[in-house]
Amino acid sequence: MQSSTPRFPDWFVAGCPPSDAVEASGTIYRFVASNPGSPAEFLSYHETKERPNAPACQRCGLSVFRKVDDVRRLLRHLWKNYPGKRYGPHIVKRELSPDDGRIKATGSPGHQTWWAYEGVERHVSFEFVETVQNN
Amino acid sequence: MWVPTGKQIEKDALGDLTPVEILFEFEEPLTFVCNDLDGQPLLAHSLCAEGALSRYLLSVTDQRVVQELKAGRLDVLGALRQPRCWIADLGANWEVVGLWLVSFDRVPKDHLPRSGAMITPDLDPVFRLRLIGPGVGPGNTTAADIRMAAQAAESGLRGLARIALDEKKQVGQVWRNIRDYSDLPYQYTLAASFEIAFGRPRDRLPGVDDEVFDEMGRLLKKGLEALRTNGDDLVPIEGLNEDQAAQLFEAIKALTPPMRGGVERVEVGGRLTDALTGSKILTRDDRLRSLQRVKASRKIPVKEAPFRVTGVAEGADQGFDFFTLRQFVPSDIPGVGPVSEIKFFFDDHLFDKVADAWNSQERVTVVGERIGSDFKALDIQESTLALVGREVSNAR
Repeated sequence: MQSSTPRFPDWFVAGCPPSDAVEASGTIYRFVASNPGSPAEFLSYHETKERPNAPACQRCGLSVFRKVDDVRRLLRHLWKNYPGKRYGPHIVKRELSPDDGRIKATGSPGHQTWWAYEGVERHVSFEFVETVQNN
Repeated sequence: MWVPTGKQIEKDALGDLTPVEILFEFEEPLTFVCNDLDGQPLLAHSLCAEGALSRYLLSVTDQRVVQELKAGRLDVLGALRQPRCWIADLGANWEVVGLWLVSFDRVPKDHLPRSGAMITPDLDPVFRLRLIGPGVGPGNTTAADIRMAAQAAESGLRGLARIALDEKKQVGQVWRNIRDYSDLPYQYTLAASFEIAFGRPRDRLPGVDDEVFDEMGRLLKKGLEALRTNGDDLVPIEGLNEDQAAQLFEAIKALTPPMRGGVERVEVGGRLTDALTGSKILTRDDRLRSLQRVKASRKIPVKEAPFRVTGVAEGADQGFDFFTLRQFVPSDIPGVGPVSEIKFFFDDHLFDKVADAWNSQERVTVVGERIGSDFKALDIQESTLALVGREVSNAR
């Protein structure tokens, strides 16, 4: 059960999320490999121990987007340039509320990082939006 | 992970591979510049990852190549292609875990970037066109083929932009002209099988341009699907009236290969074609089908006998398929009457003549016909009045 005062997991690196991250709200989009997405796809790289050279604080959160067009465009770009890596192809979305954590624009345009509070089930409430065609 | 085909070398042979300039990142640096032991730049590009290991291809590079990449004038594949390169497995803190000296040709092709893929999504071409056929390639592609490719792109995009902007006009949203989305800046050409790519308008309106290009892409998808699925059945295209449908098929026809010559197929690509689910290769069959659909979609208006009129072409603009003729001699035109100007529509074959007339501002004789309330230019000829004027000025 979530405590009354939300807090971030102990394993978050120091100073994470950054102080200018804002209360989570609105619709977010994310791409996943399976449909329905498995809970494992909503773990951070810090938890899965992947992408060790990504910025440490961003590794504690999840990559999300505000616009579905940004997800489509990025997916197509990644497929063209990095065909040996696995990205997508399914887009899912979810509504965030302040109880879900904090969020901030990070990295490339359109990309945001969502840091979920301890106890928030990150995979829950995500709905399937579409499967992007790799053509 | 697959075992690189090459010679495994000492892990520290290249030195520290920490990025000195990140060119593209998503969650981690994916393409970046690092320096070798002598401080010479290497271009690193992510090939694959497993667990905590990321595998990168490293190629010798220089500032010129990096600048070309960043400007969108060189694709990533072109920047990476060097006879000898390295594959590096990098762990946490960019520690080199494995290093191989490899020949570029031995790098698995399904791990390399696609030809034409640019370093960032906003640099990806809006539209590109590749000619395919026995008459295409170094030493084979002719000037006429190159002109055809550029003209096909311009004409096709013009048709799509016209319909896309028509819809914006109806709701009072017009920010740009058709030519802003059809006369796009040249981005690059590839010689192996002639390919020409066009980028975004020079003065960008990011949100607006994306909306218009998305709509143009949807129209192209809709048109190609109608053409290929329905065949000869004249099923209306959802959301388009007859005139718009005819314009759409005209636009597709402009992109198709000619019925004769060494160019047998045309592959379209770029951001505008992202939504296409079917083949991106246009064939002569597509041309025939689009022609049939154009003919079927157009109502046949009553044509009157051709007439001749001499005047100055004004009011023409690149990207439009009409010009306005003014300064008539005589001002009372047989079959038309006394008018101060006539707006003539014209087909693509007259494009150069219209451009010449517009640029020179000399008098030209237009052979035209009246079709309903419209006027169409059938030919544009040099006016004897213009010749006389030139001789007089030469004599002086």
